[in-house]
Amino acid sequence: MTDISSLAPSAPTTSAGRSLYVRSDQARRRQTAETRFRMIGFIAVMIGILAVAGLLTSIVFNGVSSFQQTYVKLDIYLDPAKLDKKGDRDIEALNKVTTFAYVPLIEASLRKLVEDRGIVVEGLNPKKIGDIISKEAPADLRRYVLADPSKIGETIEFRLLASGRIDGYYKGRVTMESAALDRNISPQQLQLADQLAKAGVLETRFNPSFFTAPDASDTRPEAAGLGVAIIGSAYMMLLVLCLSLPIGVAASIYLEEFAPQNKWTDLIEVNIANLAAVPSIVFGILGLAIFINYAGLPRSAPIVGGLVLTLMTLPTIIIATRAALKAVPPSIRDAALGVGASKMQAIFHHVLPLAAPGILTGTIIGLAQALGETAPLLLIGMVAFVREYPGLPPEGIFDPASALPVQVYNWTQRGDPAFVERASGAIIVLLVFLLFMNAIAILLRRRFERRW
Amino acid sequence: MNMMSETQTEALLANRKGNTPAIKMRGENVDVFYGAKQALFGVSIDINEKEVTALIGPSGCGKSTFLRCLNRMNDTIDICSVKGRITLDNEDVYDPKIDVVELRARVGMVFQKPNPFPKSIFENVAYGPRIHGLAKGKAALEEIVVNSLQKQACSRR
Repeated sequence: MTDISSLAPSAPTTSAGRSLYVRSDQARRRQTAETRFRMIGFIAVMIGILAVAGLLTSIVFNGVSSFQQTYVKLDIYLDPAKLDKKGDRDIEALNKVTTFAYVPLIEASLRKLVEDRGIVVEGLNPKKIGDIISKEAPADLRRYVLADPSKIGETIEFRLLASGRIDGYYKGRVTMESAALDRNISPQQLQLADQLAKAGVLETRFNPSFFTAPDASDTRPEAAGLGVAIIGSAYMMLLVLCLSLPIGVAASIYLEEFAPQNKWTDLIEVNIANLAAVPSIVFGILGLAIFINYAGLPRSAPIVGGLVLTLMTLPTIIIATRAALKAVPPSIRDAALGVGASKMQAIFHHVLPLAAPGILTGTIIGLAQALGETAPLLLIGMVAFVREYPGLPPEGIFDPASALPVQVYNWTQRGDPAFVERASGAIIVLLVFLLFMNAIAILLRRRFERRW
Repeated sequence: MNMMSETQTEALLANRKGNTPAIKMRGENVDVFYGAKQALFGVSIDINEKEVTALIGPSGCGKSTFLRCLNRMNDTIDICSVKGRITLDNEDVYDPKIDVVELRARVGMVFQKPNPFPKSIFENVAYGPRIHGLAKGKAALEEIVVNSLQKQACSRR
């Protein structure tokens, strides 16, 4: 204490050379390190943003054209001589008339139109004229006639799909040069298409059938749609929701509130955490072995897909639900028990409603994860080529169906470059669904989550 | 536990015996352990009917721990164990055969820290009568709630 005066003279000497305006070496080093770290962090974030932006642009760039399709407007005379020789409009007989019988009707109509408009393209034989219409068009026509046989004998205006190559020409995929080398299309046909477009017969417009039509074979990419895949995915999500939410919530409540703390519950807890990290394809093998081979459920069916995805989603939901239950303060349980509520009343009247937003958020995230899952579905036969719409639930869940991510995978395997556009379009649809679900989850969390 | 020494308790009991009030709850040599740590040492107390009994003591001396023993709220704490005997109307509340929910319905508890349910005041007051079926119909329930609040001077109606 008394030594302060003796220390005092030395104090000014130590701070003599120091000014607040001059940084010491150490301070400078610290500052450089901080600046460096900040730069690295910024670059890391930018790389992430660029990657996402690049991904999205390439998908949108490739895929947005799949929402549009080139159609040809034709007046077609539904010739009774070709479709209904007996003239009695018997549906049995009409069912026996194959798609091939409808091809000449379209070709005749198109040739007549070309002649009427005075369109002349050199070196184009009549057979090739008909080829600019999709191979799917006669099938569409047949469906129309079978739905309403009374229309036979009338001339009706149809909007028929143009072939995939013609469609590609208007989307920039096919050029005159590439057409010259292509077996499926010739430059003359493209010239004809240009003439028809000028006459207003051929047009590119919004394509609703991309969302409703079933998948189509390799030779007719223009007709391929997501209808069956969307229904299949919807059925599976319904199953996952109906199965994993009650099972997951019941399991979490038991583990969190009732189960005694012993080595068995510890073991179960560790296993649940591990299950969440199991590669999804393993669940596919499990589904194949148990649900298909042992239980004998049908292949490619949403029921099996739903069960497999339920198994995969359960750990996510259980973990989220337990976290939500844990976040409810014990004072709420004490208060309920203190007025004489039973444990179950305390949980169901007070704890569960307070944990509900967290549980729902976890469930939606789990569902979104399941919606985008591909690998396990490949193993249980969802990659099959399915053109029939599955029926209405509950029977419909046993019918073969596809799923959105599997449809994407399937289309990327096809040879025709037109399927690249389809696959990208399907990815956009899938992403929109996922963003929509995540938005709901965020909204729920924002709106209802309580903090203590 | 030095809340009340044995002799003090006895003195209190002797004093009460004069007008022979009925004993509602009784604690006999209650020991409470949190894991290996003992929190209460041989507490014995008689709590009479229709009286207000206050436990007074410094912070952390075990008042709440003892109170939580009375309606077995300590059951919710895994590591907590209770020895000795606590009776309500001469029935052992720690008998494995008794119904804990029934006990808590009869021995209510208000906590040191207010912990209302995150619901309306009405719902908070109505919750107890509702789960115990004390009110027949909505009007009766409302009457209970309003009466209770009036007694607490929380309502002007």
